[in-house]
Amino acid sequence: MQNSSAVHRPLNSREYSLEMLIRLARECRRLGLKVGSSQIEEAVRLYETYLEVGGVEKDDYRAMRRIAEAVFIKRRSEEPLFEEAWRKISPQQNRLLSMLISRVERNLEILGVNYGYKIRSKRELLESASRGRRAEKRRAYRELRNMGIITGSKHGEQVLSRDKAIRMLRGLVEKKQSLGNIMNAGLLSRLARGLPPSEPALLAETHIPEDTLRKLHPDLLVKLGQQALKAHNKDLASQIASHLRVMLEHGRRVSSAYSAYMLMRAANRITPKTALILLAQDQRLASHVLKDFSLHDIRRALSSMKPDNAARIISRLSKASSTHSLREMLSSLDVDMMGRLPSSLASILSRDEQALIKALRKYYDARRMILEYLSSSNEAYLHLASHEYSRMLGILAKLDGSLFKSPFNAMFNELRRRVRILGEVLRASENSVGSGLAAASSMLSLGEAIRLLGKAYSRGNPELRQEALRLARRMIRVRMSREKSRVLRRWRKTSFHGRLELRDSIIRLVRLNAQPLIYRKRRKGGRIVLVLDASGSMLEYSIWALLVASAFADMIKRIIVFREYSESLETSRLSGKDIIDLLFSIGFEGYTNIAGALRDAVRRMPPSTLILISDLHQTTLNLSPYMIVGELVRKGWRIVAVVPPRHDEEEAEMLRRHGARVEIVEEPSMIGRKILRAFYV
Amino acid sequence: MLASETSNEGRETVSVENRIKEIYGELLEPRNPVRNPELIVKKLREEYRLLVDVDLVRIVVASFINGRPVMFEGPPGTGKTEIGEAILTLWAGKKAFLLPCSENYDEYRVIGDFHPLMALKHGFSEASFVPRTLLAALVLGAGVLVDEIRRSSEEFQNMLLDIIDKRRIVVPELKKVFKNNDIGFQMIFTSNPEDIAQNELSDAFLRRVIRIKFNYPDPKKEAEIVRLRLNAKARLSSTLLAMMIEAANKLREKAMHKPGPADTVEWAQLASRIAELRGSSKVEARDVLEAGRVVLTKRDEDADDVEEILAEFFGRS
Repeated sequence: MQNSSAVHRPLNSREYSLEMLIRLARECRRLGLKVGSSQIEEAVRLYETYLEVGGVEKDDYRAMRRIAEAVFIKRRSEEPLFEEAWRKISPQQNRLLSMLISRVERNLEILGVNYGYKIRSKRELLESASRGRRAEKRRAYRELRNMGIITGSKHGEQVLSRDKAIRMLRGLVEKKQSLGNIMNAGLLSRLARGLPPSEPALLAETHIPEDTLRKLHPDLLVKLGQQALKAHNKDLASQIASHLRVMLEHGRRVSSAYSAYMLMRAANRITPKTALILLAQDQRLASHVLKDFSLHDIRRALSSMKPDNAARIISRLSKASSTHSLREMLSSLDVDMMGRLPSSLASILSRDEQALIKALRKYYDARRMILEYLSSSNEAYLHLASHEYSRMLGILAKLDGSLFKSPFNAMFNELRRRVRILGEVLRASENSVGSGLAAASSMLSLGEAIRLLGKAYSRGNPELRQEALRLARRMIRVRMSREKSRVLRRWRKTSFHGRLELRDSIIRLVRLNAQPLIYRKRRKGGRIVLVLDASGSMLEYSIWALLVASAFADMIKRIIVFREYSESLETSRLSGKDIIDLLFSIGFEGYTNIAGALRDAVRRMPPSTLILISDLHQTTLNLSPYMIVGELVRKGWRIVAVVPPRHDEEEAEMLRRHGARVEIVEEPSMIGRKILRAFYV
Repeated sequence: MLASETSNEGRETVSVENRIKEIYGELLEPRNPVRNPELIVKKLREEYRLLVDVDLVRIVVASFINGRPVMFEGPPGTGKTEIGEAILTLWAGKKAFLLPCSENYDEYRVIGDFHPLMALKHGFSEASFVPRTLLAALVLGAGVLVDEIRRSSEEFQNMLLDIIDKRRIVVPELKKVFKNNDIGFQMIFTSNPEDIAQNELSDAFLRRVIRIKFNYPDPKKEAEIVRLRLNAKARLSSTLLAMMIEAANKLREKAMHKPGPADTVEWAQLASRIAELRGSSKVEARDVLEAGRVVLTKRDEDADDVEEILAEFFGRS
C-alpha cells in the first residue's frame, strides 16, 4: 500500500487500523513469523477495546504496536522478527505526514478554497465580516504561503494540486523525520542566512512550541525576537520575550544584555527585576532603567535581591542618575540593607551622610558582638561590643542636628532609636547574661530572638539554659495568646442548625426580621500536616506559623520542624512549651533537607492537607522537593507551599506544575491568613 | 442453582455453590471493583505500591473485556505475580485466587474431587464433592492467577483455556455444569522463559493468550520503584541508589541468577536496616556492600561475579 493512500483515510476508522495490522501481519509472515487471520482479527478487536477503555479518539501507534506484539509474538525468539516487520511499516512518518496534511487541509478550509485553486484576488480571499475571522484567514494564508502550498508566479498565486502538495510535504518529512527537527532546522537555517522569521519553511506560526524554545540558547532567542520584531510579527516577539524573561530570572545569561533589554522592552515584556538583572551585566542600561521604571519599582525589585547584588546595581545606577534621585533612593532603603552597602557609594553622599553610614556599620558590628556574647558567654565580645558602641555614640553625637535637611534624616532617627535599645541591652548584659538575654529578646524579631535563645540554650551552663528556656516560653506564650485572639472566627453564621447566636438573633428580632434566628456553625476544617523550615531565613515564618497553628491544634495531626533532620510532633494540642521544645530540639545550624522532611511528614498518614513553609532552597543532595510533591499529589495529598518573597523560583514553578499551590507571603506576621485559607478550603 | 436439594434420607444437603460460598467466601474480602485503567494504575501505586504502565493495564483490561486470558512473560523479580494478582483483585473487586503450578496438577486438584469416605457413603453426589480453587473462582466470579504456567502439563493448560473460553466447568460425575457469566472471573498466567527447568508452551496455548512482555525497568523507573517500596528510617541517597541499580544491571548481564527489581528493593531495604542497626540515620556504602553480598549471591557460581561488581562500585570493605 502506498503511503499517500494511507493518509487520505480518516485516521480513526476501524479500516485503517485493520489495514495497518494486516500490513504488519503480512510483513511478519514474509519474515517467517506465523500470524493467522484470527490473530489479526483478535488484535484489531483488542486495539479497539484498548482505545475505548483509554478514552482515546485518535490512533495510538504505540498501543497498536504493543497489542500486535502481545497477540502476534508467541515466543521470545520471535521478537526480533516482529521488530523488523514493525520497522518496515513504521507509521511514525505517516503520522507526521498526515499531521501536516490535515493542517494544510484545515487551513484551506478556513480560507474556503480547495487544492489547485487559483487566487484571483488576495483581498477577496482574506475578506470576512468578522475581525477574528479575518485574522484567522490571514494566519492560515501566511502559513500556507510559508509552507509552500500557496505558490506565486507571474500569473498570480495558486494553491498546489493535492498530489504536488503531498509530494512536497513527504520530501520534507523524509528529510527531517520529526516536526521538532523541521521547526528547528527551518528556524536555524533561516537565522543563519539572516532571513526574517516570517519566511522559514514552517515557522509561519505566531507561536513556537515551548519545547522548541526551551532548546534554544538565550542568545539565539534574542536574535530570533529581533527578527520577529523586524517582520512585524509582534505575537511571536512577545512570546520569545516572555520566554527570555523566564530564562533570565532563572539565572541564564545572554551575551548582549543591551539587545535583550531592547527586545523585551519593545515587546512590552520587561519587568523591574529583569531590567536590574540585565543592568548588572551592562552599564549602558542604567539610564534606560531609570527612564523606564519609577524609583519605587526599582526599590521594590532591589529589596528582593541579595544585598551584594543590590549594592552592585545601585553603584551602577549611581553613575547614570542624578545624585539627588540616587540619594533619594538610598535614603529610602531599609536600614538593614543600607548597613551592608559598599563604601564605594560614598562619593555621592555628603560628609555627614557618610558619617551616618559609618555609624550604621558600627551599630551592626556592636549588635553582632553583643549577640555573640549572649549566646557564647565569652566576655571578649562584650568588651568589643561596648567599644564599638561608644565609638558609634561619638559619631552620632557629632551628627546630631546636621542631617536635618538631608533625605537621610529619617534613617538617622531610626538609627538613634535602635541605638537606644541596643544601649539598654548592653547595660543589661553587663549586669548578667540572663538579663542581657531578656533585654535582647525584646529588641530582636521573634525569629532572631528564638534563635539567640536557642543558641544560648545549647551552649550555656545549666542556669543559663533554664533562663533561656523560660524566656523563650514566655515569649511564645505571650504571642500565642495575642495570635489566638487575632485569628479568624472559627464558626460561621447560618440560618439553621448549630448553637443559637444570641446577639444577632435579638437584633433581628427587634428589627422584626422574617427569619430572626441565627445560628453558629463550626467551620469544618481538614486534617493538616504542617511542615516548617527552621533554617535562618525561614525561622521567623515558621514560628509565626506555629503560633497560628496553636489556635487550631485540634485540626493539626502532625507538625514537622526541619533543618537537616526533622523533628516531628504528633499532636492534638500545642502549648508554648511544645513549640519551644520542638524548636530547640532541631538546632539552628546545618543543611536544609526539604525532601526528607516531606517524606517524614506523610509517613503512615492517609492523604490530607500538607502545608509546607519554606523558601524551597534545599542544600542537601537529596531528591528535589517537587519530585516528592508530585508523588504526594498523585496519592491524593493537597499541598500548599507558603514561601517568602525571596525564594527559589524555579523550584516553586516546578511545585506548581506538580500540583501544589504556592502562596507568597510578604511578612512573617501575615502568614496567619495564608494558613487559615489552607485550613478552610 | 442455589436451591438446596433433598437427599434420599430426607436430610438437606447444601449445594456445591453454597458450600463454595461457605468455604471460600471469607477469603474474598469484597470491595468495589475497579475497571478504569487509570484508576487501576492509581490504586496499584497507592495500595499495592506497584508502579505499572497505564498502557499495560489498558491492554489487560481490553483483553478481559474481550474474554481473553493474559500471560505475563518476563524474567524473575519483575513483579509479574504481584501485579497480576493485584490487577485481578481490583478488576473483580474480590481477592484473586492463586494457583501455583506444578507438574502433576490436574483437574481434580483445581476443580474439585470426591472425598473417598463420603463418596462411599453418599456415592458421587454434591455431598461428597470437595470444590477446589478454580471452581470456586468461577462460581464466585473472582480472578485466578496461574503462577509459573510452564511448570504444568499440556493437558492442564488446555483445560484452563477451555474453561476461560466457555466460562463453564463440567463435572460429569455430578451431571452438572457450573456456569457464570460474571466478568470478574478472569485469568492471568505468569511465565518465565529463562527458567530452564520448565516445559515449553504449546503453540495452540500461546495463540489463545495475550502475551505481555515484562522487562527490567530502566534505571530511573527502577529507582522510583525502590523509593516507592522502601520502608526504612535510614536515608538512602540518590547517588548510592543509582549506583546500586547500575551494579544490579551489570549483574543481570553476567550472573546466572539475575537480580530483578524485587532484589534491588530487598537490597536497599536490608542496607537501610543495617544502617539503622548501626545507629546511623544515613545508609553508607559499607551497608550497601554488606547487604549486597547477602541479597545478590543466590548461587555459589555467582559469588565471584557479585564480589567483583560490588567491589567495582562500592570498594572493598
